[in-house]
Amino acid sequence: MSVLTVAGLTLRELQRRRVFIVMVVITLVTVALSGWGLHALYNASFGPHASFSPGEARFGASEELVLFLFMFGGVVALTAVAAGAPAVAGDLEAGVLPALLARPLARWELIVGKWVGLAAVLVVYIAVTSALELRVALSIVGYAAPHPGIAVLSLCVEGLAIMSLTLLLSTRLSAMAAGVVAAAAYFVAWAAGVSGGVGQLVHSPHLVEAATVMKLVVPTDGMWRTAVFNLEPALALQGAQARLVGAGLAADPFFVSQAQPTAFYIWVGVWIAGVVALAVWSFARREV
Amino acid sequence: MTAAATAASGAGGTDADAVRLVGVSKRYGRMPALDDLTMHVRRGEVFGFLGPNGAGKTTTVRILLGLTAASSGEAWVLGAPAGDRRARRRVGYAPELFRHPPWLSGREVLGVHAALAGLPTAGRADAVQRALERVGLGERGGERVSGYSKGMQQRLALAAALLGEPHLVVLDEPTSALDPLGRRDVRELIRALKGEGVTVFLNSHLLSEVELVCDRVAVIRRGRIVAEGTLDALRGRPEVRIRLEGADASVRDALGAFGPVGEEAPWLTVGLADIGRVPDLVAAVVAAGGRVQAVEARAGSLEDRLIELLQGGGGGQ
Repeated sequence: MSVLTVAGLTLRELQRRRVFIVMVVITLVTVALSGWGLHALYNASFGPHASFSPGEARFGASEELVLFLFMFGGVVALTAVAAGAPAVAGDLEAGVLPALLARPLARWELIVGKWVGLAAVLVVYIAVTSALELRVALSIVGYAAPHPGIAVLSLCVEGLAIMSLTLLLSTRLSAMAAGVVAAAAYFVAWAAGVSGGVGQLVHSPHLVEAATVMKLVVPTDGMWRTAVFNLEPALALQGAQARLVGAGLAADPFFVSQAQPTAFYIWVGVWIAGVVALAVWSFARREV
Repeated sequence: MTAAATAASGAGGTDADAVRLVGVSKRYGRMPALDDLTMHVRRGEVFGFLGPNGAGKTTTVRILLGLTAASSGEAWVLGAPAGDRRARRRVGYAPELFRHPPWLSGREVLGVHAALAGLPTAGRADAVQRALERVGLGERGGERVSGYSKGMQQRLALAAALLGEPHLVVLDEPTSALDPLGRRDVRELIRALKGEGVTVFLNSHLLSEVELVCDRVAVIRRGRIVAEGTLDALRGRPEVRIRLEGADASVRDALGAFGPVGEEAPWLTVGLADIGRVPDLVAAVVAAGGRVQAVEARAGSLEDRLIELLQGGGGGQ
């Protein structure tokens, strides 16, 4: 019960601090821009001066879709960092917590309540924006991603992973430091994913290993790649797998030619649960 | 502390004690904040915890509420180990730094506290309104906390402490942001709580505040209790000053029978065990041949005693 009270308080804070309205505006603007871009792509493919084949147009639509969902993924990650970093540290710094924790509220309930509140916002945001963007792609260029549900789920898990890490950092670091570290981890993980592709391209096992280690330490990029993989047209994937398209695609952060192994997804679940458990453990030992 | 440890210690707070601390010490790194603190607060009394800033008052409160762990020693609140969740259900706390989420209204802040205190949903709105009215915010509960003055925010913290029918209310410097009228309101509130049988633990460095409402006090200095008892006991023995003619040896002997005799020319001073014995003292002086010109009886000064204690000139319980 106290978990829900804290979760409700977290949601109300995001609403009162106008995070919701900002997210809605960003979504609408971005969906409108992407619709414009897709419409231009449609004209270039099927208009009187068409210069692309239908297959190229489909690949272009998928790439644009991936690009915009990457932007949404970035917004989610930054929202997770911006909202998660002060979730505990900010309340501690403001002196709000002693009065609340003097109530019959367990420390774990506070952490889990914050997590639930933030998770609800991230999941709803990703589900709505992704659904809108997928719908726009379908309506304007007739492109239907092969596995939209898995792609959206992957983006959700990516957001939950970076939010959980931020919450853990927030139990020990200042809000500012927690935000900086979490944002850095997110971008380093993404860069490591690109580096892994480069490692494959230049046949550097060390670079590939380093990227794999980073993917396990901060699994956000692995989930992003899962989302991308499930948004791409089957034909492009077949071409990539049959090495009919350029090998340089391996280093393209907006193209993924292979699914992640199942063990990775199990690891991500364990990772998120472990990070939340660590946040609970850390906060339980913190002087308030 | 485990339940087994509580049972083994045998000191785990009797029903008569709202608060009990035994040998509690707290260190921050190498810095001692509390040093072997032992004291108790009886149920139903208003207990004043006096000491200068930085003496360890707030650290003690935080240990009692489970916000901070003691480095050693044992503490109980309402018969349960300090920090115990069931005990916290019956404790109201107004912290020294009364901060509330500024994006909530006063009523919403109390709504959150009411939910966390486990109040039934049906009765929460009424309980919140009663608490607001009790601290003089009945008409302002709908406003955002960000628009409250400091005094209003402190009143809101007091209202939060009153929610959930607490058996123990811990007030940490509860009048620091209040004007004289607000201070009077808090005094009346404390007296009302005592009338309802609620134990009040009042942390304060304001002697006047403590003197007006407390049944018993403890004085803390540099993390150690230097005095604990009723206000009368703490004040020390009352004193009578007498000016007379013919203060010869027989008169001085007569005075000495009532207590230690001192001299503040042209007065003689006598420390009395009981202020009611002044007429007997005067009669004894006259019987011994002394001619009494003036007599002044005065109770012991709490302020003098406190300053003496805080400067390290006194001790004991």
